[in-house]
Amino acid sequence: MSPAIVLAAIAVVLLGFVMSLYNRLVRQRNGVENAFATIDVQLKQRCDLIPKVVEAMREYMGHEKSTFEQLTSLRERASAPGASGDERMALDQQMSGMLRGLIVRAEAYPDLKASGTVTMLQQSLNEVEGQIAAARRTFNAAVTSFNSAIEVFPANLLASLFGFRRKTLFEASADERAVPNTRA
Amino acid sequence: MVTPERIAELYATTLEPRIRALETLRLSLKGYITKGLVCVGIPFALFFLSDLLTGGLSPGATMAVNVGAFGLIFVGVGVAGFKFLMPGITAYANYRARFKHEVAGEVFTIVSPSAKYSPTQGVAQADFDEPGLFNTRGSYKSDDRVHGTIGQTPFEAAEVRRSYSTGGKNSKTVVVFHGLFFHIDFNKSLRGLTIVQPEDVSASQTGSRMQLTKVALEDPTFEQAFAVYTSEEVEARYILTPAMMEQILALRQRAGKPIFLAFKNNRAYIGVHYGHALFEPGIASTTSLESIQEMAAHFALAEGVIHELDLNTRIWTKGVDDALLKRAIDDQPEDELDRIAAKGELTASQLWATATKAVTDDGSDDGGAVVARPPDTSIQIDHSAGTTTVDYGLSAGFVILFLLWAASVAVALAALPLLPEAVGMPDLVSYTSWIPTIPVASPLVADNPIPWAIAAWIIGPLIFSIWTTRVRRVEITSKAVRVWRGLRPMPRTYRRPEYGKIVKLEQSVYVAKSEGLTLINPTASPMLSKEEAPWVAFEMRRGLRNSPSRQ
Repeated sequence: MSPAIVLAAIAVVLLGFVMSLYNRLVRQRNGVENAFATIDVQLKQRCDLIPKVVEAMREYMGHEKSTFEQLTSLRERASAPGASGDERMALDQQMSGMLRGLIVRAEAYPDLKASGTVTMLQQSLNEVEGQIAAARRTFNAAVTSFNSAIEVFPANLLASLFGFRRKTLFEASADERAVPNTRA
Repeated sequence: MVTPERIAELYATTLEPRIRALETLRLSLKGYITKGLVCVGIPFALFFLSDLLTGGLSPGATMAVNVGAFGLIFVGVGVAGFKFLMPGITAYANYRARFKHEVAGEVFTIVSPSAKYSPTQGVAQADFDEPGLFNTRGSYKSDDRVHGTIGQTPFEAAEVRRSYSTGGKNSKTVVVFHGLFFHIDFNKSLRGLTIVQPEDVSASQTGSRMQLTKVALEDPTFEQAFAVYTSEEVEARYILTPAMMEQILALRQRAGKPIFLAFKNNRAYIGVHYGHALFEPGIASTTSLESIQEMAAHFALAEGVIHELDLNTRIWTKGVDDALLKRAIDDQPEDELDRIAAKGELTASQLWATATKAVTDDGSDDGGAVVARPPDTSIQIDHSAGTTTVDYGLSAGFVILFLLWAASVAVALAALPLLPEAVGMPDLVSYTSWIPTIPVASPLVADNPIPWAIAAWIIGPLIFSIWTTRVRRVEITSKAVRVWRGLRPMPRTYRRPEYGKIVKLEQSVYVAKSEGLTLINPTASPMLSKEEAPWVAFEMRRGLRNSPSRQ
C-alpha cells in the first residue's frame, strides 16, 4: 500500500468524523431553537388572554381603566412584528405581573366572582403558566445539553471553528418569583 | 385517613366474629387440601423410597413393589381428583367470596366511605393496556375493583395480574405485573403520552418505548429512581413539575414497591407492583389482625395516590370527567355464580348447572324445534315400536385406532423378553421366556427394546381407553337407555326412570340422571360434527318422549 492511499483513507475517516460531529451540534442547536419557539407560542397564548380579561372585567372594575389600557398597549407592543425575542420576554414579564394582580383584585368583587368568569380566567392563566414553566424547563434542558456538547473535547475545537456559542439558561426574574400566589 | 387503632377496633368488634364464623369453611377447605396431598403424596413417597424398602428382596419382588407403587400413584391422583378436587374448589369459592364480602368489604367501607368495592369485578383489560405501560403479552386477570370519587377525582382501582410463559423446553412464567392498578381522571388536559417507570425495570415487564423520547429531568433523586419517556417533551414537563416529581418520590416511599405511571388522554394510570396476591383470605391459618391492617393499607393507597399527587387540585382548564366510572360499570355485570358464592352457598351441582347453562343446554326437553337430519351423516336413527335405536357404526378412524392398538400390543409383547437383558437384570428372563417370537414386531424391536417398550406402553393404554369407550350404538326403551361401547357385545344399561335425560355438551351427547345434576355423565355418542350433535340430541329426546318410562 502506498503512503498516498493510507493518507487518503485517514482523511476520509477524519472527514466523516468531523461531519457527524458537526451534524450533531447542528441538531442540538436546532433543539434549543425549537424549545425557544415553544416558549414563544405559550407566551403568545398568555398574551391572548389579555383581551378576554379586559372584556370580562371592564364593566365591574371601572377604576382599573388605566391598568386595562396599559395592558392592551403592552400586548400590542409585544405582538408587533418588529419585536425581538428578548424584548418580548421583558414585556411579557410586565404583563404577567399585572394580569395576576388584576385577577387577585377581582376576587373582591362578589358579582364578578359569582359570574364564574374569574375562576375560568384564573384556570386559563394557571394552565398557560404551567405550560410556560414546562416550556422553559424544556428550553433549559436543551440548552444544558447543547452547552455540554460544545464544551467537551474534541467538539469544542469544531464549535469554535464554526461559531457555536454557549447559550444562556432561562432564569425566573425576581419580579416573577414575587408574583402573588393565587393557587391557594 | 383511618388509623391502625381504628382498624384494630373494627377487628375486635366486627371482623373477628365474622372470621370465626368462617373458620368451619376454612378448616374443611384445609382438610380437602391436606387429604388430597396425602392421597397423592404417600404413593409418590412409596415410589421414590421403594429402593430402601425393598433392600434384600428378590429382583422379582422388587419389581412388583415398584410397579405396585407406580400404580398407587394413579389411584391416589384419581381418588384425590374425584373425592377432594371438586368439593375443595367449591369450598374455596365459598370461603373466598364470603371473606371478601363480609371481611374485606367491611374494611374497605371504613377506609374509603365515598367509594364502592366489587370483589369480583376488575379494571377492563383495554384500560390496563391503553397507555402501553406494560407488556401486553400473556393472560390478564383482574378483581377486587374499587371505584368512586375521592374529593373531586373519579377513579377506579383493582388488583391486576398479567403474566406469560416463555414456552420452549425451559418454560418460565414471567410476571409482567401483579399488584394494584389505578385508573384516575387527571387534573390537567393532555395531548400526548408520558410514561414514568422505575429506572431498573426489566424489559420483559414494559411495553415498547420505540416511539417515545427519553426525557432528562432536573431532580437528581427522581432521575436516579425513574426513567421518563414521552411523545411530547414539553407536556412531560407540564405533568412532571418539580412538585410532582417530589410527590411521586413520596408515593414510592409510601407504597414501598416499584411504581409505574402513565399519563394519556387526560387520564393517569398508576401501577404498584407487589408481585403477589392481595386481599386474599388465609387458608393455612386464621386471618390475623396484621393481614387486615395490611389490607386496609392497600385500600387506603387509592386515597394516598390522589392526595400525594395532588389530583384534587383542579385549578387548570380541564374539568372533572367521570366517564371512566360509568363505562366500566356497564361493561362488567356481576356473575350469577359469584352472587350465589357470595352467600357461601355454592354447591357442586350449581357449579355444574352454570357450566351446562354456559353451553346453552340444561338437558331439559321442551319438545324443541324439529332438527333436520344433516345431509352427510352415516348415523342411522330408527324409531319403532317404543324403541329408538341410534347406530353410529364403526368409523374408519375407529378401525385405524384398533389396528394401532393391536400393533402397540405386539410391540410391547415383543420387547418384553429383551428387557431383562437390556436393564441388566438377567434373573428375570425366566418370567418372560413364555412369550413367543412375533413376526415383524420382534425383529423391529431387537436393537432398541427399551424405547420401543416405553412408547408401546404409553400409546397402547391410551388408544385402548379410546376404543373401548367409543360409543357404537344406543338403544332407548321405556325400561332403560342401553349403550354399546367399543367392541363389547353387551351394552351398559342405564335404568329409567333414574336416567331419563339427554344433555348435549359441545359436540357430544350424554345420558344424565332425571333428577338433579351430576358432574360426570355417561357418554351416549362419540365425538360428532357440529351439525350431527343437535340432531342426535333431538332424536334421542324424541325417543325418550315416545317411550315414557314404565318401571
